[in-house]
Amino acid sequence: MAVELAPGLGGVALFTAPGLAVCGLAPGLRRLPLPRRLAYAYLLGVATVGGGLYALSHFAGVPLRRPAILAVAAAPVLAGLAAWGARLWRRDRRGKERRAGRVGRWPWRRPFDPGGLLVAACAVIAAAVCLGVLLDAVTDPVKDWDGRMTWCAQARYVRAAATVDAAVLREGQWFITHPQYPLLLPLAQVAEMEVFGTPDDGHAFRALYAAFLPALLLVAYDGARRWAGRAPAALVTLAASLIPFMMKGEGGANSAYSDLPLACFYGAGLLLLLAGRARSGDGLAAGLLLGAAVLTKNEGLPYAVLALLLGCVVSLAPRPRLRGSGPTRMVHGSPAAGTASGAAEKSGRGVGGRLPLRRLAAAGLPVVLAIALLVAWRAGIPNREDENYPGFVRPADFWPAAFTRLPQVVPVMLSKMYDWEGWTAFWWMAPAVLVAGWRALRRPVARRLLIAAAAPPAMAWAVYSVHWLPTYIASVTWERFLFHGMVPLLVSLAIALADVLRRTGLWSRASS
Amino acid sequence: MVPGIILMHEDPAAHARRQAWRFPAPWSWLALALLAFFLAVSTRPALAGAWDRAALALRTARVAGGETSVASRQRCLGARYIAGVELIRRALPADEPYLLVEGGNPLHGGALWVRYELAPRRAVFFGRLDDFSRSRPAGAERLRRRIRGRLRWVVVAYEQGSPPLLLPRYQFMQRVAGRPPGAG
Repeated sequence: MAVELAPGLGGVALFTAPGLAVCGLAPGLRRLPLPRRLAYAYLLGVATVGGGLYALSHFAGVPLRRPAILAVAAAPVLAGLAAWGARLWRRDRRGKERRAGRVGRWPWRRPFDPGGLLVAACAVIAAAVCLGVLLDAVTDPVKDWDGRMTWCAQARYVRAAATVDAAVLREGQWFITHPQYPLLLPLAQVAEMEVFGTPDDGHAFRALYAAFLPALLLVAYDGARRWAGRAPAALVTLAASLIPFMMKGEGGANSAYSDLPLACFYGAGLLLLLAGRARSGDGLAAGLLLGAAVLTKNEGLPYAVLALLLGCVVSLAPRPRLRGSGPTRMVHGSPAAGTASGAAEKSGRGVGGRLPLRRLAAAGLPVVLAIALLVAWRAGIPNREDENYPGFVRPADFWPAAFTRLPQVVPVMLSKMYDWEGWTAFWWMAPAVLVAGWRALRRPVARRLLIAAAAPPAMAWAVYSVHWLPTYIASVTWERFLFHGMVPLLVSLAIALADVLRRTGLWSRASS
Repeated sequence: MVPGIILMHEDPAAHARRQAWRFPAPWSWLALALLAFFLAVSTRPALAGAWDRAALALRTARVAGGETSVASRQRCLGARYIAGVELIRRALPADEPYLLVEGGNPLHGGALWVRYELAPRRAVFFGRLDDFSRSRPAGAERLRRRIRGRLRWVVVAYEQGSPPLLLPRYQFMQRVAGRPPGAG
């Protein structure tokens, strides 16, 4: 364990450091408290370094060895340091005075805050759970199904060939499962193993997969706190950290599947777009995350397109009328939504009204580049050992199978959701909270989040309608589809919970 | 007045009181009770699991100043299985391709696990051992026809826990044909 812990944590740092530099480009992320910024930084680091290596290896033939990996990781760090230095240089005197004024505010002189206590308690429990997952990662080898069948096997082949265009993928006679699956996570694994010189048999790379759990929790907390307030956000994040499937399910943080990373990339990119910040840097960060979703799993492509469409809706939505509408200015949402900026933020629109198209373009460009890279890379790889849905699915196949197959697959789906070992009482609690807080879910941002959360189950429904073994495929994939939409679902849950807490009077400051 | 809309000159606490009687409170309380129930029943197992992992990690770190990767794989995947894998790794160079045959139930993934353990050695999949064994002469002939290139080794994978078997190609084909090795 002592041998694996250092490279495991080092691997996480290898991606977090460049990610922090990329965060510096996005004003919305730069201002976040450190824990949440670290979560986005880790995701952006995997997206930037992994995506960069993917493109360099395929288009330029750069060998996936330590010098190239360190150079790709160092480039954003150096750029970030330069940008940070420039920002320091430009800071005006007023900024210095403001910072100086903060020195006298000792934390223990602040009034007692029960919300802070609740957040701290939830954070301690969630951190303990995440620590357990990390320790499992650095103690045990990979034991799960898809990790050994697809992702880690591909990583070994790519590492040996030092290229994403390994002959074993491009020559059709070799036995490879899902050879056209995107390789972002195996590449991240290769990068970590090459930089720290760990052998193929080592399992330090599992820390990379484990680190996505705290990242998902912190990203969900960030979105929930923005739109629901601190207490509901903390409670919902705690609830998410306690779902057994999140830790030890096939696709959870203890496995080497790409489903948890996909959930993180999709959720984080979506939240950045829905937050409605008008800066191009925030759009670029969202685009990098959605591009990473495209390069993580096949499902990432439709999710990224949906997130961009929802971002378009936010951009094109008319500005809320906040001024001059009479003596009773009306705002949907919480009592805290009193200011113009707060209302605009909470309704999911930019403070400045219509968001500039430049921001959307900044978000769309990395996604388009990621799609182009994926298409170009796949062009040289004969597909085999794969369902190959585009090869046999016709639009006519969905009808009437989409409905006639429901009696077969719905019992399987329900048995998975209400499996105590996997989810305990989560699917008893979540629908009840959503129904009880339905009024809050009428807010535009909540509607968009619910659409985003419903997209993965809708895709599952489509798959089960055309697959030749619908009950089998439902039994092995349904929980993972639920997982993909976990971030928007958790944020929606927090919005509903905030409403419930307010109405019961248990937490009058729920949206603080 | 539309529920859920607040007046900006209104005190938030008054707003909450005004809304409270409008909403079916029992449903809200039920939702909160379910949340509390979920947190209550899930916290202890989650923390106990984390504690178990921490204890195991500390134990393995203490036992030998860091468990080797072979030892950890033996602990998790079985000593006989890993010994068989290590034997094949020593016999097959990393650039030597091989024929992979599923000797157990394919639903248990034995061939997939062996392929992973032997990667980056390239594998050509030949199907299930049973398919060849049921009609032995025909199976051997079919096998001969399918073999391409200079694949000199066959690995037969069984279910997890049973060690995989490495055979020279001619020996495997003799077995498939029902002849004892060395019979000519």
